Amino acid sequence: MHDYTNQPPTPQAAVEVDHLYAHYGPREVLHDINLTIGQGEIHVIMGGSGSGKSTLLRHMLGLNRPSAGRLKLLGQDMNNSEISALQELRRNIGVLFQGGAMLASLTVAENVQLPLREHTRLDENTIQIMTRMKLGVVSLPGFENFMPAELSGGMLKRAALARAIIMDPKVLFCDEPSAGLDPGVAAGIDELILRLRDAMRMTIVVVSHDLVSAFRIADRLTMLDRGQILITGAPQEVQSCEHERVQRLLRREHQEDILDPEAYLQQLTETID
Amino acid sequence: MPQWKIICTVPTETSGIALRHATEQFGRSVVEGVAFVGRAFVLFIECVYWLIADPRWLKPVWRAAVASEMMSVGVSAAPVAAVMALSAGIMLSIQAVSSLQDFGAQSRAAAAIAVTMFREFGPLITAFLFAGRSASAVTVRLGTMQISQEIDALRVMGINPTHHLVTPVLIAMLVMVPCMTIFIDILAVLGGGIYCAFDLGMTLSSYAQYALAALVPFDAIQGLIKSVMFALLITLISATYGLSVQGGPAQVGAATTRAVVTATSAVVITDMVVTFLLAR
Repeated sequence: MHDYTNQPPTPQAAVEVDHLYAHYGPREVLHDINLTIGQGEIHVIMGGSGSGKSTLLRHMLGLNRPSAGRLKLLGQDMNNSEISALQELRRNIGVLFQGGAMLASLTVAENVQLPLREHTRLDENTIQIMTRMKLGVVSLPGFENFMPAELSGGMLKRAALARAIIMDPKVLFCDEPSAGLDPGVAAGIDELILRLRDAMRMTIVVVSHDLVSAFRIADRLTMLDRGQILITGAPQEVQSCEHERVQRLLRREHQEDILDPEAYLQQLTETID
Repeated sequence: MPQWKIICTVPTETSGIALRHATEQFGRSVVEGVAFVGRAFVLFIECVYWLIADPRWLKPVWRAAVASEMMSVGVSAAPVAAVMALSAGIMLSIQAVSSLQDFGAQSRAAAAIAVTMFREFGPLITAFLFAGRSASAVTVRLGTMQISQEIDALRVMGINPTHHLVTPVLIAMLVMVPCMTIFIDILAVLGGGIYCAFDLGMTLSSYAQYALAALVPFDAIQGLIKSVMFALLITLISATYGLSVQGGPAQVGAATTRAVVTATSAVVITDMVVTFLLAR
């Protein structure tokens, strides 16, 4: 088998994952992940349901601790850093969660302003101007006083994106940005991500299972399957890859994970445990 | 004979398995209980840290959050608290008058109602009200935020969820539960007075004189000490359950039920211990 994962690291890496392993109980969900994401690139991590892509994202955000291995974000080790250093690091990252994760009790403006109010001493006028600016960037001007429950799915993601970029982060993480949206709205979110990369020179890490969206925005792609990286490379390289599982994922073919009934029962038992 | 064998064997095996399951379940419950107490204690330490060590609580946005929580947990509960207090006062008065009538000491009803309410029933009724109303609200809110990734969003924004979400509730509860206890005490004694006026023909002013003569400052202090402890327990239990939710909406419902049951039980047990320590 070819070593498709052996990619040359970019000179200035935004994210470095080094021999990362992760478990949920006894079940291994990530196996020996090695990945380098260069600064200023849009890197899409894709794979089917249960492939481990969301778990990998949670590790990159420092929400989960790995069983083994190392993860560096903007050159800082996520596992061996002081809490204060991690807090400082988190000011340099923005996250767009799958469902938006807007605080339901706050208005759109209050949600967007939250990081500014917590981490800066800017005066009220500046905070208001920055909020309007960021809502303008995501094409949501005039929605300051709306509650999250009053927004459509696409608008909610845009508002969440405005909150994610309010501190001008160096790295933006997006978890399934086009999930649950119709193709037109999803294309709009993709355009927005491309615009952010060009205008703000951000590193953008996108986790997605949407092939169309992934190939539309990616500078580089990583394909995950069953907790392992199948390939990392430019979209053309991934498309021309002859690896059987990569091709099946690209063709959206159903993959029978387990054909052996005993192994299936074993997996069920592990899941219940 | 073979039939006897079957009858004798099956129950023995079943009871063996049942005993093993019961033992396992008991062991698991003990471990989960200890883990829960540990999580609640850590949450308490975190809250104290954010209150004392971090001056950010002076920020206007945080003060607004506390004020909003006070409105939500306290002020909006006032109408239902008033109805409960008046009903409890009248109920206590009916019992006191009918019991004391046998000894010809109906006039002592005012003293009995006042002392019982201020020492015992006032804090307890308030705690039950808050355990049912606010504990469930806190668990549902935090649990829903947990499953919709709002808590994760706060963490990755570098905002501590305990500081942002739990501490304002704790402050609001520590202020509002004692205030509501005094409110319920006064209304319940008033309710008792209305019944005494109706049944015994006693004037409200003489009823008030009897009640005030029987009360000493420590009665109110005892009630307030209890109410502060209840506020702490209800908040920590409900927040710990809310922040521990994993999975979907069904788990939020289950956590809410457990929070209300645990908070109510904790209030009753704590009340017993504190009464034992203070009233002897």
